[in-house]
Amino acid sequence: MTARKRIAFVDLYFCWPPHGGADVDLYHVIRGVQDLDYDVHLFVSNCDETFERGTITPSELPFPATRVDFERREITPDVLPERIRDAVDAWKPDAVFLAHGFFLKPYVAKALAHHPTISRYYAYELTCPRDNRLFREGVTCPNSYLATPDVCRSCALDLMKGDIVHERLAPGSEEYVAARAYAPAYHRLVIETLRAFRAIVASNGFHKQQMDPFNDHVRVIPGGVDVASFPCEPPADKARKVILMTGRAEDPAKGMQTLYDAGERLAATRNDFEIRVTHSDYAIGNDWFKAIGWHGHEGIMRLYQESDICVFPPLWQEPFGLVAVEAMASGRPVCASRVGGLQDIVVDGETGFLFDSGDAAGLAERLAQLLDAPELRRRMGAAGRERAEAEYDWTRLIPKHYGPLLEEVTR
Amino acid sequence: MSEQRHIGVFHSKGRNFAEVLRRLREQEPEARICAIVPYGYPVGREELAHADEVVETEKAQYSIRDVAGLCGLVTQLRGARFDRFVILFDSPRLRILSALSRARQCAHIALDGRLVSIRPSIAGTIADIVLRHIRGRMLYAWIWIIVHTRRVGRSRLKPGP
Repeated sequence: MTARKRIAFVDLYFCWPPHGGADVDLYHVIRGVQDLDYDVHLFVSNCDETFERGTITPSELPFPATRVDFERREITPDVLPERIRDAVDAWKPDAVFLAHGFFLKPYVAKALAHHPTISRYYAYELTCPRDNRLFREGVTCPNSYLATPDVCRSCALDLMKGDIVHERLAPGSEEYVAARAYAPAYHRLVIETLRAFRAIVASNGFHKQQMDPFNDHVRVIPGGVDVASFPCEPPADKARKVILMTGRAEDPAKGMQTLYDAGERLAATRNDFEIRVTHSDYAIGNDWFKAIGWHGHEGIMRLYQESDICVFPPLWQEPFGLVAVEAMASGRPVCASRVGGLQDIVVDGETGFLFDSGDAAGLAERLAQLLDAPELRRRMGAAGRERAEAEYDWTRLIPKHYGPLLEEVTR
Repeated sequence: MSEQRHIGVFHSKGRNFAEVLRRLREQEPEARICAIVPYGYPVGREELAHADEVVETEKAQYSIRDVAGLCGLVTQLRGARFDRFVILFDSPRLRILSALSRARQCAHIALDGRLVSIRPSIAGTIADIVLRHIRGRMLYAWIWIIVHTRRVGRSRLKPGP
């Protein structure tokens, strides 16, 4: 009988309850890998003195976990990687899955380089030290830290300036300073570790392309949802159809303005719709445009059920687009920008429509088409639910993508 | 019998206000918590459920140049006679506002949700800000020199495979 392979998951930020999509993703991946008959163990760096990093209660997680506690002054390239390495080595893994981490991640990767390592990137943390977004002045930034490091170092420092000068160290800037990410040696470290990874997981093809020149084993694995947890009832018949945009609508990169402009075009000729956005500035809005504030998971599921059409109009290369999958799981047609992971999620003409990012006229046209055709909405919603079940449900996604990946790395 | 503490929590964008109020309620179950929200904020929202009272400011937004507006805001805050004034971020402007509120204690919410006391005196706040600014400027200058004088382009990085 062969012993079960052991996979150590290492995350420098993981919190549960989750703080964001990366935490949710990792949680489900670990559970799924456990179901694939691997021994799993999560190692999390924790520090109570700064922003929430590693806030977990290991006994409350459905898999074994170790919280490695640090004081604020220990969050450095000299201390943190060494302590993580000691904890991981003591468990004797067959492979390491290095998940979320920003500027200190390359140091941790180097400390764990004696294990076959898979590195997961959730946004553009490797290519955009400014803010992991590759988005400047309303468009996708043409630079990449891997290819144009000096341009990106200078750009990152411009953004960090306010935080550094006022000693207002936020998560990004505090680690930027601690990791000496401004130094040329840091770039060498990033490239060195990138080449050494046994496999790299990117969220979309755009990010994969940026890493391809440095490693032959970059693959795209989408995020997932627990489809069964999303109710999928047909929307109630109402005089004004609800067009919903969820996510961080305050963020200009999310493209709320495009949706507003499209709404303005529609409102000139019809009044059978209402746009709802999860924006916390309640002062914005009018008769047909409503800011409805931030909602938790339960609230979001209710919002999807109350909606007729969902819109996601980001201007940046959205790494994945979980909200679009959630809307599809709720059986709603989705109109999304043709960017990043969204163009893989939405099948144009089948589960919704894709439009060019920032194209308000194009979006208005597609919304009008959906508003006028209840049968099309129903058909696209049903196709979206089917696609969410087939491609993005954790129970199918893990065996399909992570099974072969782990098999290859631990061989 | 001790008097009920009156705590004002000043709303800022970018933090989960409901979560802040909830945590504060856990920490101060006996206090009278007042949520200070911008003009136009829907007061009936369930996210304000942990506040005992909700006060709207006179304006939805304040600018540093709007001296009259700011004076009105300070007068409004002083009139409420808070025992404790809580801001959501430790920014220089919010620190000064908290100092001007004349609350006996001031605090900001740290990123991990803890309440961190700050100096309620105006002179102390300004001195603190100046000191931080000098230290921060020096660190920034050091990093700027490294970024602009030591280029990766001149390093001996080998090309990719």
